[in-house]
Amino acid sequence: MDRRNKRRQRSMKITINEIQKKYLEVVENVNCIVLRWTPDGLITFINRYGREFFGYAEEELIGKHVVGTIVPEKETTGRDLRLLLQDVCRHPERYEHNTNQNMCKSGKLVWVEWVNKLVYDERTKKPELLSLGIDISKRVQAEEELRQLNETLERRIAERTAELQAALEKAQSADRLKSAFLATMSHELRTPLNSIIGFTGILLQGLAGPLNEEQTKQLGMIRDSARHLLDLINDILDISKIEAGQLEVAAEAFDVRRMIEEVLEAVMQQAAKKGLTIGAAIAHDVSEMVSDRRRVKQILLNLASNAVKFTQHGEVRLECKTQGDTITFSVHDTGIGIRQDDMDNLFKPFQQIDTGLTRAYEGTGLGLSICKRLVERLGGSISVQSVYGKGSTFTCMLPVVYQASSA
Amino acid sequence: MATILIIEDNEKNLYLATFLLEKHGFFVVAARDGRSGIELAEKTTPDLILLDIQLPEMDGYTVARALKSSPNLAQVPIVAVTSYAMAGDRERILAAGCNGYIEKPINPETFVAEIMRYMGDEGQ
Repeated sequence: MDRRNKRRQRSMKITINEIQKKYLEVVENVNCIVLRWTPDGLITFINRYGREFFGYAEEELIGKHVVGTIVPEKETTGRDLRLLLQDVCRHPERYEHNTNQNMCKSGKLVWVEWVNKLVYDERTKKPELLSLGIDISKRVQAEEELRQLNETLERRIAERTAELQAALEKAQSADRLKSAFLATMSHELRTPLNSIIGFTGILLQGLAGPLNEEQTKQLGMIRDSARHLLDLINDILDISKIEAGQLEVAAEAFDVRRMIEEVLEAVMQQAAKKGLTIGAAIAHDVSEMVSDRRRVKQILLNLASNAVKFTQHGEVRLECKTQGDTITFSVHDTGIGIRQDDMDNLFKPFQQIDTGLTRAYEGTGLGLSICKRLVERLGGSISVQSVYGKGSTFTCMLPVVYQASSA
Repeated sequence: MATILIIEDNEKNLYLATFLLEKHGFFVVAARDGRSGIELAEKTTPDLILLDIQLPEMDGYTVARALKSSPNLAQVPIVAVTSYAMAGDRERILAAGCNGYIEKPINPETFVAEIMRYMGDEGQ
């Protein structure tokens, strides 16, 4: 062998040594566990990172079985790791990626994500497993915390849902109770009134025999008081129905002129008694509207009888006109008027203005608040203009065609 | 003389309606509950039935349905007398087969005229 060859061999040997050193350095220092082990489970190599990670000296691991050193027999999940390892050795191709629990010398359990590969040892010509592992304990712990948080949240949601359900059922049963109460009251209050008003009427008609003047006068007073009581009951039931969401409205076509006539007829007598002029101005294009006749009439009747009630001299005038989709009813009077300060309370329930004056004017104080709610229920609006001491104008705007779905 | 059957549980209101109708020349038969009302209707085949809706035990809706399903009585007009209490009552009354309804308290001045509207030509 000539010297050049020897030199080259030496230089190659140095180079190989250097390369080996470099590779070893890489393997030793890489930030993951590098492990080689035989299919029997015996450790043949573990890098520095791995040794430090598990807390073992090299000689404590080399030649030792993985189970009992870095692998516990069982995971905390209950999985048998001996069986798992047997399976890994038998079918390494199925375990290219594998996550399992590992154990440190201190007994601390950690989660490691492994990448496994079957390799052949150049020297022994035997198969070995090359496994690279990354500590994922923190991730597993975070996932576990997240899972527990989710469970807690789901439990809380379930609890809250149950609470809401219970509250809803309670509210619904309270609603049913309220409706049943209203229906019962409505019936119970009207039954005795039916016979009071009925028999008074029969007597006044002379159907049960002739009456003298005083009897007629007193029976007339009974009838008026009974009717007043009926008005009060109706108002209270109306407002209760509205509050309970029990007020349903119909949508039927009806003759507006005829309805206005009926309203005038109803207040005519009272107006005549006070010497008031009463009349209506209906625009020529007003004919039919589609709404709840009973309720529209109730609104107008309320406004008209209020106007008569609060007017001592002069006139009460109903006006009606249509503009596009809107029909406008207004009731003018030359009555006592309303102070500016009282305007805000006008449409609130039980707020008859000026309690001192109230004595002079019978009423529940519910009429206008019912009107306002009815008008709104029928898709319209109500407003008032007034000069104190001079008179008032109540204006009520309703859709010519009420659409139930829009309410 | 036209016969009117009144089914009404309240004694005073029954007397009231009976008095008014008899004064106007009707022949009145009366029952105080739904079951005997239906029996009496079968027996007398009245020209009109005045039916209180708020009856004990068997309510007016049930009575109306029973009356309308009887072949002898299907043509007899039924007028419900009701306190018109809650939302949907009117629809329920008509759906049960009543031809019309009168709200309580009744107005003695217009009551008889209202009833006769439902009797067609057979009235009086």
